[in-house]
Amino acid sequence: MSSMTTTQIPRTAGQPGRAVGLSGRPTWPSSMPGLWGVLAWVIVLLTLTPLVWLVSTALTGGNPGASLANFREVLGTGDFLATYVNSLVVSLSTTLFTVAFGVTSGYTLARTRTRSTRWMGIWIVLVRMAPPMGFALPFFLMMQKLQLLDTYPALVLVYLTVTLPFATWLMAGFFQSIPVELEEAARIDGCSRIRALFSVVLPAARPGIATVAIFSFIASWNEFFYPLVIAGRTTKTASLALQGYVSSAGIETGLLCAGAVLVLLPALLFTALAQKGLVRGLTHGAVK
Amino acid sequence: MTATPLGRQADPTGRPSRLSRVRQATDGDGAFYLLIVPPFLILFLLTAVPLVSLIWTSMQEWNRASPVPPDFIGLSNFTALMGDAAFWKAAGLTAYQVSGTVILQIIFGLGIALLFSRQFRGVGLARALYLVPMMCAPVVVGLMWRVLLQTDNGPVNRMLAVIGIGPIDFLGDPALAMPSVIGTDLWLSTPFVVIILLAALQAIPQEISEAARVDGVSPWQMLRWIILPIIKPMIILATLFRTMDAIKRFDTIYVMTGGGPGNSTETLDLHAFAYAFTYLDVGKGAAIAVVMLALIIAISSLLLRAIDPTTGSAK
Repeated sequence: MSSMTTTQIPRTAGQPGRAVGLSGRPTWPSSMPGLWGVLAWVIVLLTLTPLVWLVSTALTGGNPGASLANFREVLGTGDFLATYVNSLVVSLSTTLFTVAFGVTSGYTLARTRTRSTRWMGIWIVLVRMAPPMGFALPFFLMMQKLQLLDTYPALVLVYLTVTLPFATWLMAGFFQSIPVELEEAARIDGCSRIRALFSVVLPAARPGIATVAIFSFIASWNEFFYPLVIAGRTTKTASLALQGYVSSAGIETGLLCAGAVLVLLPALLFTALAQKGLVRGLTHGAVK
Repeated sequence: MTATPLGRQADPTGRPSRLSRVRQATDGDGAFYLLIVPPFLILFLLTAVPLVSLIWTSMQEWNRASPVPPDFIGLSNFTALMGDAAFWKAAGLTAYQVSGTVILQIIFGLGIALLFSRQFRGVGLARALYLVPMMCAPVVVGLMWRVLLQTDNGPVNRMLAVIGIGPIDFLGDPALAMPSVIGTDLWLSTPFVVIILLAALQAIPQEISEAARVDGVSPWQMLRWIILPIIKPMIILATLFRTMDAIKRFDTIYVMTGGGPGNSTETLDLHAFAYAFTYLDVGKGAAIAVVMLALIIAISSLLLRAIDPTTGSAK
């Protein structure tokens, strides 16, 4: 990580102790370092305030004093727990398929001629741009015809339209950064192409694969629009179930917040575990 | 990026080596493609079939509520949209929401990225914590802000009451509903802009900023004439990504206002949803989705051209 701010300019004898430009004015990056740091932290804390409120309301709202009562009620009554399990099943299956397909198609993209790569790249960008309605409506009609509405496979299929293009793109970038010579050396040593892929290329691409897995899990876990359209009573996801605490009669704030915290939990956990890789993956995807 | 065709060894003489010829016979491109093509096909089918089917649906007169079977009517759904005031209102609201979100996000995002590119105590932790909203499920974010912005006893209004500002009906007032939705999106996805711009700022070679400093450039000149031109492609890229996502923003708006009050937050996506799944007018819903897709493609090709005028593509 380069940090332009810590760089000290060569100081002349007449200007001891402070990072000051040769013109004598404090220069842009290092003037008032302390103040800027305070400002940055104020922004961070202000940004986090709503989440702190969310957690504290989940712990205290509605049932003052009883710290886990809201969570107990959310998990113990109604269908929230079942929807939570639904979310887990669908998100984990989507992740599994995304990694399997994303790795192989990304590898194909990275190791084939440029023309096909470019067209596939354009296609993937196009798919990423398409409004969800563009997929949800045809999928809804297809699944209705196939009698697959309200099933796990229908949800996984439609989630793949979100995760797979991005995963392919990301993996292609990762594979491109792995030198071809690595595989060629393995092949000269007697590996078959498939074996070279599994024993040389994939281990080298492990950080990319982890990024793709975490990204697909979070994306499918957070999905709201597709389950709203495709899921039914038996496959309802946790993100949909939250709406149950909001009605025209009012909002059950304590329960809603407890449910919301439970929904946020897995994504935040994964993010905490893999923040570096995720940021690298996102910026990598952006720079491409 | 290699231009080497599959299965051929790089050979200084340009001919396949004896070794690779032998290998091509035993595990050449054929076996390789067999392994690799299925996922590729799945990716393509999964995305191409729905898009084709969407375009086909948009040319049908098809109401799922009526017993009349779907009927091909060409572009009539689109011409009907052009004369539909509700469609234009939704389009205008989308323009309002998207431009509001993206412009503010780029400005705030740039400011915060500049701040985070400095060195201060706990800078790594601050950066990591700032990214948290981006990972939150949008539906949770929407519901959370809906509660925060409640008129009766909502936390934001309670805080405003302390400084003597009387309860504001953020989500119930047609004039304030959209700004509230935009504000929620600022909280949710400004971190994305910050990530991209921070990466861009950190990629600026130190020699450049040092040279400028030695030349006695003022902070403002440094930003205006050195930093902004260098990170301009990344700013455009961030704008592109955010525009695409803002046009598609559904979940937060749906749970915060449901398109209301009246239809003051009913953007194109919610408008299409209403047609397709509430009025069950599938053809018209599909037509709106197609218009949105065309709009997104047009906007992004414009933005991409701005990055590299000669090739029209991002580097």
